Amino acid sequence: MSAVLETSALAKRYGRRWALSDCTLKIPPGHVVGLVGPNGAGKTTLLHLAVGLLAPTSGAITVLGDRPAKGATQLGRVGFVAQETPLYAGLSVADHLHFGAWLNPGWDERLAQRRIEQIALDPRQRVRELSGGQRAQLALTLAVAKRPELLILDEPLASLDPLARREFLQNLMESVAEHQLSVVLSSHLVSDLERVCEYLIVLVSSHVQVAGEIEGLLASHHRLTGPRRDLGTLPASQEIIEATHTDRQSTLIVRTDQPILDPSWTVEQIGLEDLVLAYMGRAASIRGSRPAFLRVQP
Amino acid sequence: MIRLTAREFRTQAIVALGALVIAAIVLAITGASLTHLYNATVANCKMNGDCSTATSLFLSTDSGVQGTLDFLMIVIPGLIGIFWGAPLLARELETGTYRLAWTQSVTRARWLAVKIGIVGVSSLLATGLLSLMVTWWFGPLDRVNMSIFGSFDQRDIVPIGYAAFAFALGVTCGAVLRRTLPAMATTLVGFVAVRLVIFAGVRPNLMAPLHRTVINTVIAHPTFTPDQGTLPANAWVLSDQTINAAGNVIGQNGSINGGTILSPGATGLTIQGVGTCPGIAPPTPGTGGVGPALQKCVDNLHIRDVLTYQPSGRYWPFQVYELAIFLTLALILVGLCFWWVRRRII
Repeated sequence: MSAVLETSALAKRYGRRWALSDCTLKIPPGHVVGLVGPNGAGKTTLLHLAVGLLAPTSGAITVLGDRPAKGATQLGRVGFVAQETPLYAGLSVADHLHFGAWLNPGWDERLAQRRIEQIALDPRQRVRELSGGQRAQLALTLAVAKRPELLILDEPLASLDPLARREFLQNLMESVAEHQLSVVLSSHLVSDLERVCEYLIVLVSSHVQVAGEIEGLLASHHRLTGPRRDLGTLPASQEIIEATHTDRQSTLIVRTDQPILDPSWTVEQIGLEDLVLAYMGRAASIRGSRPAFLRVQP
Repeated sequence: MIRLTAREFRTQAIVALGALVIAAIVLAITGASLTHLYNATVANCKMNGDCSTATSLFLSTDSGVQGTLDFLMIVIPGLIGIFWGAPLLARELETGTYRLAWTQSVTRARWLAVKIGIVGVSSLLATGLLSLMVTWWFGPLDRVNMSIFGSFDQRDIVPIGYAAFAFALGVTCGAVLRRTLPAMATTLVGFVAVRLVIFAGVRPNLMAPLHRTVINTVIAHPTFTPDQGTLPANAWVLSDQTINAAGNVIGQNGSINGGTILSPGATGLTIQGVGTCPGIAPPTPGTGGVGPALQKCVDNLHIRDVLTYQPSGRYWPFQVYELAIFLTLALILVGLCFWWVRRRII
């Protein structure tokens, strides 16, 4: 099976500003993929390119093996929930379900009805009267009931309170389990992604910092603590992601597939949040041409 | 997609239909009595010998309705552009719902085609129906008024062209500006500007105007007027120039350049800047005014008026040409709008 999303040297420019540049990535099918990065990293631009709302300035992008928004069929294969879940404020919940049914040949009315009941939405209610959580749920229903192969969600959790977040993710996971969807979900909150994602992509200023299955990422990243030392003496198999030093002590986050044999290190497991922050920090410091290993804690 | 657009357009369509039905009822009632009045007074005024009173009385019948209808016919195409055209895409782009609409299993081009098709055709139908009713209602009045070019913009088929153009302009402004209010304002300004340019700059020259030289009548000192009997009937007079015996232009619209100043002299009446009429006695104050003497002098000096005009027979060709111009502009705008939505909003 081909990649759900594949880009090579993808770039998008607005006037003189590059929203995305030289972005190359490949997302394997059958995963719930978290796309994480700081604001302005190009997440929304990348996702809009993937659903065909935008066209690339240069480079190539394929989604499910085809050009995004190539035709009605290709549009039907990808479900999209845009940032801030845009819906027609003056139309009712039922109107939106009609909207979905009229515009999507693959529309699953039973699924839509069941989901609306499940999240306890009154079909007659107008969208402007709904809470943020209800709006997000309705938008998710529209995207899922068209029975796509790939579901793309752009910051669906940003405006939700913690309870609504949990319900939304629960609902999402049920749909994923039921229909074997591939999902790409962007967020800048790692804790949310950790609960649902199996695959993680860290995107900082257009560039993929790290991508892989979360389990594998957690197994290959370690926090090493030990007496202060010169970083040049580390084995070549250990890639330093982050290094901080005090007068007497060095703390490193390294990536390696080999066991760590040096007995002077205390080796610890690392959480997903720390891992993501380490990569973001590294990208930021490279961008600011400030080598990570010179950063000294007071 | 068709059902979706129909649902979104439902409220506006109901409002428009309601307004048309009300207009139809009002016009049917007042129009019937207007026709009756025409048959009773104007149609047989010749037998009674006094037509001028009958026609002037008849022309002021229902003057409130007349004024309202003429006003509506002028503004409704613009309103369609502002309230149906401009928000059609601007609202989707402004509120972000285009991100929902354009990621369903319908291509952007089809989405746009259906929207423009349904709302656009409704605009043309509504304007066409209204124009049909208004033209019928004004039938007897227009027959009496003898000024078909005076109500050219408010009758028959040209309002359909205006509505098509205004709608297409609104939709395109909405797509380009992406905000509803600026799109509405731009549509208004653009529509008025194009209408004025076509009205003043293009329409008079759709066909080469005709010329006719007519005798002047002095109605009251110091203005002349082309003799009523020699005027082309129901024509659109573009200019009215006064010439002297040598054929040089000496004034227009019934007055001689620098004012028609008469100076009584020993040799006779002089019209300043034109010539002297020897032997015609200057009018004596208090003896019935200047009229007959001046008329005689005007005739002696061969002061004539040259009318530049479009004859009444060109009314329908002009209606067709103007409709074609505005429909073409509308089509160009729709094409531009498609290109913009498919190639520029990406």
